[in-house]
Amino acid sequence: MSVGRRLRYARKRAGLTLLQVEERTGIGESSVSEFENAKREPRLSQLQALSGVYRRSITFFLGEGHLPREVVLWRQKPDPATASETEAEFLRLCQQYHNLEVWCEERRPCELPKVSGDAASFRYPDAERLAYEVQSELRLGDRPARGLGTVLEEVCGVKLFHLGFEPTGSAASAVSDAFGAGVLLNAANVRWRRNFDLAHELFHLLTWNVFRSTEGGDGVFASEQEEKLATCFASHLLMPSDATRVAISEVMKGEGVSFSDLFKVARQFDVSVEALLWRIHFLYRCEEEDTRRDIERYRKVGSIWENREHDEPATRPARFVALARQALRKGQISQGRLAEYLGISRREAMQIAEQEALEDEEIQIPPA
Amino acid sequence: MKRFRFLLLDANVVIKLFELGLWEHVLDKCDVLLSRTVVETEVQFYFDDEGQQVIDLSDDVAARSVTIVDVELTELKQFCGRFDPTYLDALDAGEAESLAYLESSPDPCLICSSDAIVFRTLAQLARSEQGLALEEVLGKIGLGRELPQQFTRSFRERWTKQGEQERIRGIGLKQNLT
Repeated sequence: MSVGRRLRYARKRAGLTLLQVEERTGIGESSVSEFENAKREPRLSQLQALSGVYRRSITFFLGEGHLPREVVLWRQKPDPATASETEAEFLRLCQQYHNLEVWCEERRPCELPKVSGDAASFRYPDAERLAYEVQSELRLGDRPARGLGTVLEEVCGVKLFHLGFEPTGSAASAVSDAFGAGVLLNAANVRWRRNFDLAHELFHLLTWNVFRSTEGGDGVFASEQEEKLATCFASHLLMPSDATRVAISEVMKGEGVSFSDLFKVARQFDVSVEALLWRIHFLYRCEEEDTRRDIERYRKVGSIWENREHDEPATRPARFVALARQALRKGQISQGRLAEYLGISRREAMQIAEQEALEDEEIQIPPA
Repeated sequence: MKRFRFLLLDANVVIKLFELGLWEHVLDKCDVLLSRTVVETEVQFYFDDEGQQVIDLSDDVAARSVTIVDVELTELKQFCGRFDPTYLDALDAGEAESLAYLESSPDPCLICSSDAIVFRTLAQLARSEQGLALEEVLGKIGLGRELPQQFTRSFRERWTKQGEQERIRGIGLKQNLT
């Protein structure tokens, strides 16, 4: 595929009009159109500016052959403009992470439990069983939320990022031949909600080949049933039956549990009280009407107990940042590229380069 | 006669020269070439005691103290095509442009950089002798001083050596150039 066609593809995937590109790069609409129609070639400086707003590497535009299949599956997709830009940024971060792994010779292939079957026959018991298998295989323990992100990233090779966008209920996942598996969580959400989103997205990664056809169709939408299965999986994964029963029994007074005690249990499992109430609903076979009423009541008074600290997660995981600095230290990446990858200024990158160069200096030891 | 002719500078070196207040001195003593990408997208600010300052090279370009060099995209594509795909993703665009220019230019260009990967790439191309550290440039024009590690000769030598070893082991380039 030519440079022009790749430029058009990248612009459309980023959800930008020619006018928006002009506003962001200073390159006239007509020039961009001429580049896309192969009437003339952009200069490298122009390609650099375009690659920045399209969130692609320059080598993407210089590449040959077919474009990679890029599927991002959204939970509550934002408005088209936000979704396109967020998606482009998410895919760029995933690709950068992969590049860093290659440069540092620390490639971590995606190692998630294999799931087979077909979408039509996948039922709730299958989702429940899968949750227990994952809990056991990944050794997540009785409070899986605490270590799920770390295990997925450090052990399973899942690329995990945080970006802020609306609606806050949104999250996304992607699987690609180019970089493996990635999850995007919403930085605007509280940690216990992100934990649930991560488990929810994990279901999609695990069952990607079950629900997403590899041939034909873009597979970017999950059916309502698939979403319910993902929620069932997340609920069982983060609140394992036995551990949840024990925790509830410890706070039960007669046949009731106070909201303040429910909050204590939710805090233990690092999930929301609402998620816990739904877990109790299925675990103890409560009436749906009663559960919905309890949730409504909790929503009115929950802020009294919900005093967990809201952290603001970094966009890039710690391993990503560590790999970027390692790549610089090993002479595998330029300072400008480091700045781009870490989202910092060139000056900050130059300061890091000074530190890394100093750290790598040898000490002189006189002969014995 | 200027001490250096056809001297390509990468963005970090230009920024460092502004920080040191030596930019004009270097222009007096060297024929400086800058890739268009370095000028238009990479060299924008530097910091001094008064904070952030804008780098505006337009007067230097107009006065021909600085020569801007361009590389056709096709030429760059050919240059990049000789390396493993991710290798050039690791370079700044301006560095890739400067290196592609250096390779195709009939003039005996030199490139002054503070990035290890530039010296590694030069070695891969069997052009190690065309790399320079800022310390060496300043030393030869009588402006020598102590600089951070990545601007020193020892830094250049260390990474040039690594690039030469990689070349022997067939890492980086798709095919042997020599």
